[in-house]
Amino acid sequence: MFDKEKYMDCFSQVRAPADALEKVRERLRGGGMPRNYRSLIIAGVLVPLFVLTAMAAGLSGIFTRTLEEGEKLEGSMSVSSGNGSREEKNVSIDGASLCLSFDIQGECKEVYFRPGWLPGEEHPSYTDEEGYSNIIYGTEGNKGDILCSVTVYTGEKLKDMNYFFFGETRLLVQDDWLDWQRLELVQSLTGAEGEAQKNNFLLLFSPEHSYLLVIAGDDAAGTGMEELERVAGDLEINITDKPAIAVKRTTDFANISLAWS
Amino acid sequence: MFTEEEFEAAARRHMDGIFRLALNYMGSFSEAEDVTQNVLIRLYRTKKSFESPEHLRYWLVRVTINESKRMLLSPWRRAESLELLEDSVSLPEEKNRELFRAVMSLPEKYRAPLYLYYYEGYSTKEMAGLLKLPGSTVRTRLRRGREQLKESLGGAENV
Repeated sequence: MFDKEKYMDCFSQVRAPADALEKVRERLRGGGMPRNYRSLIIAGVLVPLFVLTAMAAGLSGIFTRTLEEGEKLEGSMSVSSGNGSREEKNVSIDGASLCLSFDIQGECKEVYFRPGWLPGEEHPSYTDEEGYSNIIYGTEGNKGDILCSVTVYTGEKLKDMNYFFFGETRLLVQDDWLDWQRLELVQSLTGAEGEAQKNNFLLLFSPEHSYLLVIAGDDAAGTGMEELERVAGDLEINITDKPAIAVKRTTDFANISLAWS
Repeated sequence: MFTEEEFEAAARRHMDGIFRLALNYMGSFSEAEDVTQNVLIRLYRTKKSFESPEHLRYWLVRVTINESKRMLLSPWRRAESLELLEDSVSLPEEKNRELFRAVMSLPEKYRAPLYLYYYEGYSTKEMAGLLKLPGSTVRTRLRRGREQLKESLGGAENV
């Protein structure tokens, strides 16, 4: 038989190790480290096992592939044949440098966010109760450099898709951060008039809820990784009960870019 | 920002709670210990000011959940048998050992909601905010966790 009192009685006897606080003090003095870091040597052996375990546990995953210089991204596209029917054609794309693909598990929900802080906007005036799936704003009356763009891609938009970045893309960070798997990258492009452009991207993927947040800013507008991380840390995420809207696609790849739409 | 004395007092007051919640996530004594240490270090370093003891407790629960999830996704997880876990926790009474075994045998996704609800006393609405899950999912996990406990312990539940 199970009841609340028994649960309380049982778990009240579960205590943290008596020396936990002392170990914290040691680490704050720089003298100790958690066991995880002492186990780094075996990490390489365990990584493939972990990936399999994560998938078996029903978690989704994000995969990155850096393209070699000159390598073409191969994909397919559904095109109209003129008589009302459609046919699949193979297409390839030049100039892509990084490609993201996803393993999406389980049912995907509509996801929205509400910003708590944005570059240049200490108290953002975004009041929609449900939240937003995309915001973008910038300087010069929204015509100049982009201060910040935040977009959420639901699992339905990620399924069976390859998202890629044009230009030279440097992947700076690939780790776990808060509830997300994090990628930080810098994209360098040459503009239409030959000017150099540098865009900073923070990508956050939720293995549990299968959504991707793309938070980006134009370096020229003064938006760096620190600002993007602060935007992310202050976001309020609304994972709704509504199933994500299925996406009707004509291609299996799409470009992620920082541009006025 | 905490003074040394305030940090010491807050850490002593909350570290068992942090450890219990982390244990429910990790199912491993040593990993729960690591999570506890990491959370206490976050507490030491935070510049956040807390409006009330309840605000501090809520923040610690949230940070413990985040830290546990981060460690669950870590490539270097440690395997720990239920027997080893039981030995490490060393509960003196058989009735508690039986319940502990039953709880820790549940899937991880049911353990944390049960702990937050039955031990910490959060409502399902508060838990939805803490766990970043829809309220309906929290309620379903609570119900299924209870059902599985009832099945493994036998007899009717009384909650």
